[in-house]
Amino acid sequence: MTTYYLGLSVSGHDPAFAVVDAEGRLVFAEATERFVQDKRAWGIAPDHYDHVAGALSRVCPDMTRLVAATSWARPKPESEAVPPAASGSADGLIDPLTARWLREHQRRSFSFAGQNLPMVARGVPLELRHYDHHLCHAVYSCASSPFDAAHCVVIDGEGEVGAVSLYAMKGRRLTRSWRSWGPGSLGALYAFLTLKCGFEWRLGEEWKVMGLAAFGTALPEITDPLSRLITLDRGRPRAAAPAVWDEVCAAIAPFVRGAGEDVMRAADLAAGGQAVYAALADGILASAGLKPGDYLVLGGGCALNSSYNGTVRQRFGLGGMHVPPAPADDGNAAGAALLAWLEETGAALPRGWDSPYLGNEPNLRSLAAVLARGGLGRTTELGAGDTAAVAALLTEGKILGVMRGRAEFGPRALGHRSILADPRPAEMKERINRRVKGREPYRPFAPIVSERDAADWFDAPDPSPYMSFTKTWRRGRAEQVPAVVHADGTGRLQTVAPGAEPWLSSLLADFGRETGVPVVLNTSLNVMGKPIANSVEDAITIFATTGLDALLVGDVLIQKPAG
Amino acid sequence: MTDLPTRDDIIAFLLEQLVDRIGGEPADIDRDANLVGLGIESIDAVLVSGELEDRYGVEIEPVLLFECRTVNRVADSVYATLAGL
Repeated sequence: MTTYYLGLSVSGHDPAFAVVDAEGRLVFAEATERFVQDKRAWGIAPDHYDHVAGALSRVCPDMTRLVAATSWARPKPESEAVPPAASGSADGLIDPLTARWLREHQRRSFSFAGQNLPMVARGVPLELRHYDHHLCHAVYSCASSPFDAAHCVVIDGEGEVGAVSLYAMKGRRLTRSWRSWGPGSLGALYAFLTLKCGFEWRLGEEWKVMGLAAFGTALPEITDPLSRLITLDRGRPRAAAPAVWDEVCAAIAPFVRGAGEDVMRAADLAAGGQAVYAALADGILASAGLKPGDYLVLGGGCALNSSYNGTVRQRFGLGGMHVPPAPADDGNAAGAALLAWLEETGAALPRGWDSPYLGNEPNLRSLAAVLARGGLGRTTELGAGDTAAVAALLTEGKILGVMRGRAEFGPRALGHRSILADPRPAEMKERINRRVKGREPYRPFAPIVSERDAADWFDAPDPSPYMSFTKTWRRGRAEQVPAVVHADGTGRLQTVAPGAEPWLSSLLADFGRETGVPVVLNTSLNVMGKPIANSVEDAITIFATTGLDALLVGDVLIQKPAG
Repeated sequence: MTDLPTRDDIIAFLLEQLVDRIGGEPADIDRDANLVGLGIESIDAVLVSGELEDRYGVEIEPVLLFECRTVNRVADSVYATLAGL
C-alpha cells in the first residue's frame, strides 16, 4: 500500500495544497492562487479539482491510499462572541462586517475541504483529518529548518484560540509551551495599519506598508497611541477595550491616508506602525525564554515581516534563526500533510524540507506549441544551464523574465519565476516599473547574491535563501547597486548557498565576471495585481504585453527585436 | 509533571481566577451557578481557559467553559483530562 498525505490550507484565503509521501518527503506544494491566477484566491477550494488532480497524477502515480488533512482543527464558530476571536471585531481592529466575512470564508473552506477528493482519488481509499492551525505553522516551519533544537514562535492573525503560540523543538520533536487566548493579534494590528495607510490588506498589501516605512519617521504622536492597542501579558498579546480603540483612532487621525491621497502622506504612520509591531514582537520573543546562542524558528504570517526579521538574530544574540519560505497560511498545507504523516509514523520531524522549489515545472510542450505559431521574437536554444548568454543580456541592460525548474512555494520569487536585471543603473528600478511591473516607485527591488559574497556586500548578513531577512548594505557598496537599495540603505536579499542552485550560482558568477558586481536584481514574474506566472502561457502573456526584453523558459531564450 | 492536582485544587484555582474578574470572595461563588449568571463575560471565559491551560499544562478545548458552564463541571472536565479518565 502506498499512502500519500495531502495537506489543505483551509483559512478561506491563501488556499494551497501540499503532498507528503510515505517516507515523509514534501514532494509537491503550490498555492491555489498560482493555478487560478487570482491573488490570494479568496473563497476558492484548496482541493480545486483540476489543480489537485493534475499534480497528483504526476507526483503520486502509485497512490493506493490518500490521507487528506486540513490546516484548522475546526470551523470558526458562527458567532464571534463564543469564544471571542483573536482578531475579530471584539478588539475594534476589524469592523464587524469584515470579521463576519472572514469567519464565513474559513467556515466554508473548512466545511468544503476534501469534497473534490473522491473525484480526484477515483476509488482509492480516502481519509480526512483536521489539525491545529498554529501546530501546522510550527511543524512546517521547524521541518524546513536545519536545527535539532529551537524555540519556535508562531505569530499570525489568529489560530483556534489566539494569535501567538510558542513551541519547543528538541530532537526534531515539538511540544507546545504556551499559546495566547482571546483578542490581541499582531496580524490584525498590521491589517489595521495597512488600512489606515490607505491600502488593502485583503489583497495582501502589508508589503506596501513595510516598503513605505523606510520613508517615514516613527513619531511619538503615532507610536504612543498605537502601542495602546495591544499590551503583552507574559508574551501573550491582549487587545485593548473598544473605548481605547476609539481614542487611538482619534489620535492617529491626522496621519491617516485616504484613498487617492499622496502615498507619502502615510509614510510616518507606516514607520510608526512598523516600530510598534517590532516592539510587540520583541516582547513576545523576550517571553519565549531565548538565551544567547539559542536557535529560533519564526512562523505564521507575521514572519513575512522581513524588515523586522533582519534585526532579530544579532539583537538577541541567537546562534541561528530560520523563517520558512511560506510562513503564512499557504505553508500550512505542508504542515497539515506533515502532521498526518507524523501521526501515522510517530517519527521525528523529517529532514530535507528546505527546498522552496516545490511547484510545477514549465510545460515545454506548451512552449513548443506557442513558438510554432511564431511572431514572438527571436528564439535561441541555450545549452543546458548556460548562463553566459544570460549574463551578457543583463549586462546590456535587458530586462529578462525567467521560468525555469519547479515553481517556488511561498510568496517570493527566488529565481525560478523571476524577472532579473542589472542592479547597477540607478534608473533600472524606474524602467522595470514603467515597462513591466507597474509597481509603486517607493517599493524596493531585491538583490540575489551568493552566500559566499554576502558579507562583502551586507553588514552582518545571515543565510537568507528565501528572502526572509532585510539587511543593511555595506558602506561603499550601496552606491554600486542603486536599483536594489531601499530608501533606508537596506536590501531584502536572497542568498544562494554553494551547490544549492547551480544555474543561479553560475549566473551570479558570470555576471560578476562581466561587471565586477556579483549581484543581480530579482523581482517576481508577474504584473501588478496578479499572482506570479504559473503556466508557460502566463509567462508568454507577460512577455508579449509588457516591456520585458527577453524571456527564458527552461533553456529556451526568446528575445524581442531590438528597438 | 508534578503530582496530579486534586479536584479541589482546580476549583480553588478557578474561583481565584473568577474573583479576579468579577470581584467578591471565592467562598461566595456558587459552584453550581451558570458562569454567565455570575457576571462572567465571554472574553473572561476565554482568558480563564488560557490560565487553566498554562496552570495545568493540559490542552483546553476553546468551548469548554461555554459548554460546562459551572465551576464544578469545568473542574470535573479538567480533572478528568489530567487524570486520563
